[in-house]
Amino acid sequence: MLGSSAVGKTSLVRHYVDGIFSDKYLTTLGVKIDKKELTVADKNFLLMLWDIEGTDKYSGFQPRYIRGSSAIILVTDCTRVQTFIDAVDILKQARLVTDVPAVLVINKSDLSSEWNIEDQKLLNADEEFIGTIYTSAKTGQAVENLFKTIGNHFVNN
Amino acid sequence: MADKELEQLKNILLKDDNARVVDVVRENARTLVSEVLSEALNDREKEDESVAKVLTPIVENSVERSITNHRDKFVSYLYPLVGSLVRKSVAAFLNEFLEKTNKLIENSFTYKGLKWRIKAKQAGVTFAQYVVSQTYVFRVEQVFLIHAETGLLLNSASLDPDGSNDADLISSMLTAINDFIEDSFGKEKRTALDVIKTANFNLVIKDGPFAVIAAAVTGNMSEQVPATLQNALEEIHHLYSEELENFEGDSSTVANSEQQLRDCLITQSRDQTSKVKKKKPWYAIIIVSFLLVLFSVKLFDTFKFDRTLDKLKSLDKTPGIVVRKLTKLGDESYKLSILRDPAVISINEWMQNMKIPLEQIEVSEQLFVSADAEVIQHKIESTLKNYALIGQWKEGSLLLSGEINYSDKMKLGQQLVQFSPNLEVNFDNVTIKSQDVINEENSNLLSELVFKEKVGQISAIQIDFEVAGSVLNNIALAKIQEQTVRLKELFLYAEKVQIKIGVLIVGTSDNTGLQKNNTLISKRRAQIIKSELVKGGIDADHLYDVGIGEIPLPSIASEARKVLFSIIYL
Repeated sequence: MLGSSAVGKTSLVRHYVDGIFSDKYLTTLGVKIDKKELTVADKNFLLMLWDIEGTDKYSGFQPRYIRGSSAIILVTDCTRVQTFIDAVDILKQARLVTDVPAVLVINKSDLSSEWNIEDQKLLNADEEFIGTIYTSAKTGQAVENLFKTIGNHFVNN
Repeated sequence: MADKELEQLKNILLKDDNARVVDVVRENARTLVSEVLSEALNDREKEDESVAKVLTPIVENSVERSITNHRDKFVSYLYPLVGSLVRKSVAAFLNEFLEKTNKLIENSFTYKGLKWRIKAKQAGVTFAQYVVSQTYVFRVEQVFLIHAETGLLLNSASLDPDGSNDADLISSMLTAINDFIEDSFGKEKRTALDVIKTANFNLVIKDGPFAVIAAAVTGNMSEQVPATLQNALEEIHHLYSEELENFEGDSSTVANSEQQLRDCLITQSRDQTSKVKKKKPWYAIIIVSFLLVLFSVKLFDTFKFDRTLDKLKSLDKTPGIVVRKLTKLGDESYKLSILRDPAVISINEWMQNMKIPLEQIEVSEQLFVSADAEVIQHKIESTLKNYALIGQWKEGSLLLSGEINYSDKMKLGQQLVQFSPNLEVNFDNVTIKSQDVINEENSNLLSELVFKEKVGQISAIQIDFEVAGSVLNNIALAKIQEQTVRLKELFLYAEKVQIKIGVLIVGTSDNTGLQKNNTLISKRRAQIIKSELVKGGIDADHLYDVGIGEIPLPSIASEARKVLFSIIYL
């Protein structure tokens, strides 16, 4: 899980693993690891979810954490356009370390959007990502779907 | 086709060209061989491992020759390596040495130290040996094999069958921590975690090119643990190098590595550990025993004291002894004042029998004659012993048997009457010794004795009357009959011993009614008895009746409706 600070990486994982959402914001330091078993098309996956400390333009990116990963979930916040700009940068850096499949997540979709979907073109979304998913950790919208998308990708490839 | 036949075929086909072909091949041999040398060696080695066997002596010889001829070069090659190795080894040794010394010092002056010293003595080993044995009791609880790059758990082994639940998370977290350490402190060089210490266990980590092995160890682990982990890791890398290198998330490819991990689950001498546990807690036993002894002594003291008091109280129940006063003097001493019949046990003897320390009791004693049935019995029995007679008690009367002199019989009779005037003694089974002829002198003495005995018997008889009555009931009449017989005998013996006697018949009354009437009633009672005795054949001249009225003794005044007998000597 990569993305700027406070985009909702931890909340997404928490909702997915524990089914809980909390409005309280607790910043993640370093990395938090969770485990979830997933079954897609009769295939069992053990997801080790590395919820990595939020990255912004002042804090450095920790490429070592994604070394050895199987997929990247790049999370952005639809209420802050800056998170999208950061995402462009994060992806660029991540690609220096790994070329695993990535999913673009536009979180907090229960709130009104600040930026236009057209901006995604900046990221070459269609080429760079195996999917773009609008989620809400608060309502639970498409959270399951996000992880299933990754599972499907591995089943099909 | 055999080699010979092939050779023949070649000769037929090629003839002179054969030599040319061989030449051409030889010319290109170098190129041809060099093209396939590595592969061929690899194939052959895989096939039967013969390449290594062939090469080993060659390499050994070459190395030996090289070292002999080019010593300087070798020194320069090995110098950095040896230096680093020696440094590492010395550092490890120093660390271990310091730790042991610390433990030694730490344990020398503490309770644990003293305990260990005693235990070491008990076990017959030196203190240092014991400390080492205690310091290195450990258990490898769980071992993880982690893929170095992804941090995914490849395999794990645990002593506890349910212990591997969070192995996936643990392995990822370890990798994350290692990443963090490496990122934070190992800017250039590869930095890996070695040991993570917590209060309860140590996490020992050994780092390999493709996999990391981590072990959770409880207790004080020895150097054996890291060494075993290192060996297991090397073996796993050797066996599964391909699988580890091409790992894509499927841990089943290295499932067989569990054996190597299981080998790491070492426990230092389980027997020794359990032996240590089984050893008796001597300290606790000594302290508890000491307290118990102390408590028992105190309890015994109190108990003894109480017992003494109880025993002294029981003295009152002893026949022939009356406790007048028992006073507590001090913590464990008493003042005892008693009345005692001389015939019964002495107080000192009694206290000895009861195990009462004499020095604790201050005794003041006065003698008295006890009327207690047991005491009388005791007196009678001890008297009988003097006459060598056997006495049996039968319904209140004493049945005697044995042989006795006539004079002794008379003496005994007198003594027995003294003990108890109402005692009935049966001499039927007593035989009189035949040689003991009764002479005149003896006869007189005996008559005197019998006379006295009869006097005693007669004086002991009382006849009771109803309130204000002067009529005789059946009991009274029976008594009078007996008394008549006794009186007749008495008069006979009185004649024998030449004593003139008269019988005084004394009537009494209770204190109810007028005193004048009472005197009259008492007189009438005496007269009635007199007339009955006269009827029985007693000479009236020997009988003197008096009425004394009320008896002024408060305790008997209301009950004294009686006639008493008294023998008077004329």
